[in-house]
Amino acid sequence: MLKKQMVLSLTVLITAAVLFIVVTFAWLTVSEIVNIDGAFITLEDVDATVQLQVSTDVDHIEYTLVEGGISLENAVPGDVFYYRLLITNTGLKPILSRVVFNGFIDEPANDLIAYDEEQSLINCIVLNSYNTANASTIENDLISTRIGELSGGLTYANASFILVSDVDIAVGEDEYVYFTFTVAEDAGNEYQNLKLTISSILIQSAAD
Amino acid sequence: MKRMTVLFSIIALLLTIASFLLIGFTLGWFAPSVIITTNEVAVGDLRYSLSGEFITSNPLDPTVIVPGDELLTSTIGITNNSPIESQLRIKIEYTAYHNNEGEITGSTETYGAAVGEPLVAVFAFDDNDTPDNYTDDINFIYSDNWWYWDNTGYIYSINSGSQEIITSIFYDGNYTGIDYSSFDVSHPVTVSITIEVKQADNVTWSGLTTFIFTTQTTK
Repeated sequence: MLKKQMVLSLTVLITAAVLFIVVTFAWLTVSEIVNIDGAFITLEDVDATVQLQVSTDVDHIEYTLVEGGISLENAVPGDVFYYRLLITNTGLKPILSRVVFNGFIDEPANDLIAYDEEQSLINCIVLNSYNTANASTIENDLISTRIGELSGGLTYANASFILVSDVDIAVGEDEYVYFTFTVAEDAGNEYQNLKLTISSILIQSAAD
Repeated sequence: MKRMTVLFSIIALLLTIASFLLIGFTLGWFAPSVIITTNEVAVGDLRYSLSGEFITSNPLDPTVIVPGDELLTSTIGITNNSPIESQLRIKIEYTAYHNNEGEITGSTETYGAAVGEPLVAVFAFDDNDTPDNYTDDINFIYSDNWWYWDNTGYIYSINSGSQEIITSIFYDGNYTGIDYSSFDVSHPVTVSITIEVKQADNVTWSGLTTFIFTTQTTK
């Protein structure tokens, strides 16, 4: 019985080792197609670049590159801020991309000025979004609505929501994901001096 | 031998996991992600400080006032250091007495600078010529019981600094009759100034302060 198990585990080990060697060849090979003893493996070169851009002109036609992340100060109710993500497929295969907002932390914009720590800007910042790749849109949703109900143990600091997914981008092509932040017009003075930090905007891509 | 079997199994498992990871990257299941960090959205705040005060009146020894007595010891004013545009409005309420066929009744009225009002509030920049002209040249306009800063959109610009608002308040002897006096009953008088502020375009007003003057006239 023990001998059988030994033989079986050794067989599995050898199989795993062969599998590992084969895929290592594929990974390390620069060529698009790997030929190992007549077996062809296609190497999928998936890559994408992303630019965050902002529009400040009246008609929101011109967008300029944002160095770093989003930075908005002294917003007042009714203010709308226009952004877009330019995603370029620089790989050799069509890709599907998605954009995820992660981590929402409230704190005072100015430590020396009073603020209401019971309030959170996720309850007064309205999100709109659309993209040039598919018909997916977000219309007038509060950030808190997009996050939804927090499951056990989760806090807004480690919560996330998907802005858009399945953004299909052909090789060498660009697609845009537009989104706006609006400070709700009925936001009261209780939201004064608050700052919302969005820890990260994650743009993930995979082969289509 | 049993230990060898376990060891082989563990190594095989690790190799298999590593292989699938490599396959995942090779076939594009996992692709490099782009992360944009430090995204901040901050809203502004209102920073007003106040100046000015009414004359004091001790409840145990009330100040007796007569028409024409100045009720302010210093001009009511604000200093705006807000980093955002803001709006401000003022309400002035006062006690008025009416004689209805010998029966004196009191009421709380809102000052609107109408001719014949028993109270006069002199706004800053008022030319202050005659009682009928108290509303000339002022920088505030009256609407629905409130006085609003009169410029485009009633907006105070960012860090607009200090501004006088009300330089004088008194009961006008021309329209304050004997009904206000205290022959046989006590006639208390209260004047209050309420100031509210809000962020421009924000529909919600927020109280900044209320100045209150009260005196209990003696019998």
